[in-house]
Amino acid sequence: MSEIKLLSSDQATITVEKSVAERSILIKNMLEDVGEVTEAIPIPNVNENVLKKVIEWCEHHKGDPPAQADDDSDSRKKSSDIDEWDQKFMQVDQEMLFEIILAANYLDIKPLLDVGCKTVANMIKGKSPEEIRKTFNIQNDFTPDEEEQIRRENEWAEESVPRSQPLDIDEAC
Amino acid sequence: MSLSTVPTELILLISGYLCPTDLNSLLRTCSSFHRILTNSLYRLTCKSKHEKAALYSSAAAGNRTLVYLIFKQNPDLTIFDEDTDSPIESSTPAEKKTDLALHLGVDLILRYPGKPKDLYGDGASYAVATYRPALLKQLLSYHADPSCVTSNGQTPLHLAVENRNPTAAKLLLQYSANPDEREFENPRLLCSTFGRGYTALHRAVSNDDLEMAKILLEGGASTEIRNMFGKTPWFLAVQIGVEIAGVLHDAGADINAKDNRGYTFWDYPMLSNVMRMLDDLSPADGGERTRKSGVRREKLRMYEYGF
Repeated sequence: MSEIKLLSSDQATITVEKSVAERSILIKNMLEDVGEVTEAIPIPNVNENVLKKVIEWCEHHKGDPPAQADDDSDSRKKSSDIDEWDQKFMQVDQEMLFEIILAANYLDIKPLLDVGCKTVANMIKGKSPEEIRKTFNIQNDFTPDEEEQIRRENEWAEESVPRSQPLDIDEAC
Repeated sequence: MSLSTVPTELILLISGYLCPTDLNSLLRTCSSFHRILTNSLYRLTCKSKHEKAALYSSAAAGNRTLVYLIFKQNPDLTIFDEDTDSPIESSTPAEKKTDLALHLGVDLILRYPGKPKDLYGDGASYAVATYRPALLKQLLSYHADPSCVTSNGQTPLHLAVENRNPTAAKLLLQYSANPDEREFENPRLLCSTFGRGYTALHRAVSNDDLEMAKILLEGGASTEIRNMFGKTPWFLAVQIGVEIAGVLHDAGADINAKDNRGYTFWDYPMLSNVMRMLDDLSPADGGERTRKSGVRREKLRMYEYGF
């Protein structure tokens, strides 16, 4: 079993099984292009901590069947279907969570990216705008008027909006 | 790294896992999310059975972009039976009516393209002026503004009164339209009855519309608001008829109110049957003031235009 070396943005070298590293489509394509490499592959956007975390995920999932090409039409699937191990894996602080998502995006590891996005989506679900602001430390930069305007504009999206009733135009005036 | 600093493409990816309600909450948190996510939310409308509610509310709110987007998608406007929850056949009259109403709602936007802010209002006025109480109700339930005004300063309630449309008037009052709003004062319009600062009650009285006057009074309309000549509806009523004067009198109108010139209604000509009614109302007076008024009637003809 062959091994390759990865060089993180903060110059740490990490040795990893080739089959594990190839969960990253970016690395897989690169290895296919250049063939055998002996020196460490630089991963300039990802630091050591995050890279280790990503590799941990890849190792656990190295036996997974390749992701089936998912049709985009049904991409809005339930975000609750995260398996237990992944859920534990994602129990990190927000800083790390978003770093993992960015790294998964950069390294092109779609299943990990999905898990990351679902985790964030789950943190948003069922919350009011104010609660979301608190959770993610978002600055509210709307004036009260703008806020009210937007609330009205999209009121239909709130669950309390009644389904439109059949109208009776003939109703006596 | 935090949610606010994550690149846009990843925000969009995350938002792909959210239902419209959650997506809406997220985009309401700050302006950059509002900018990034509004289109995603709009795209969802066409997929998730929200299109009808979205169409009504966006028409009422003057959200032209969304109306345009929804219509571009040829939305399924099938309506459902409230009791059985099954779709109503597409060619039934009810469906056609719904389509028609939707058209009207959307038509508002096409009619007033330059005035997005006034749309709610124009929507309500339009529904009143075209005798479509069902549409009016729909628009009001999506926060159409009942206090919007036409160029004469007429609120939808004024229009409802002017058009003798009690259903619309009741709806507007129910959705907290202010019954005491006055039309604009505009001396240049004096040859017509507009531009005199009439309240809805003035207008109902000058229409001799008893039912409407009662609806307004029940809806909290004041009998003491003055038009631009300082005249309360009472001044008009005594010119119009004994029934309408009676309605105001029963509602506690101050019959001795003075206008801008310091005159009470006694100083103006009035109908003889109204005089008789007043005699009956105030027998202690012995009819003295009524007689005085009769004498002045001719003398003060010249002021009549002031009503």
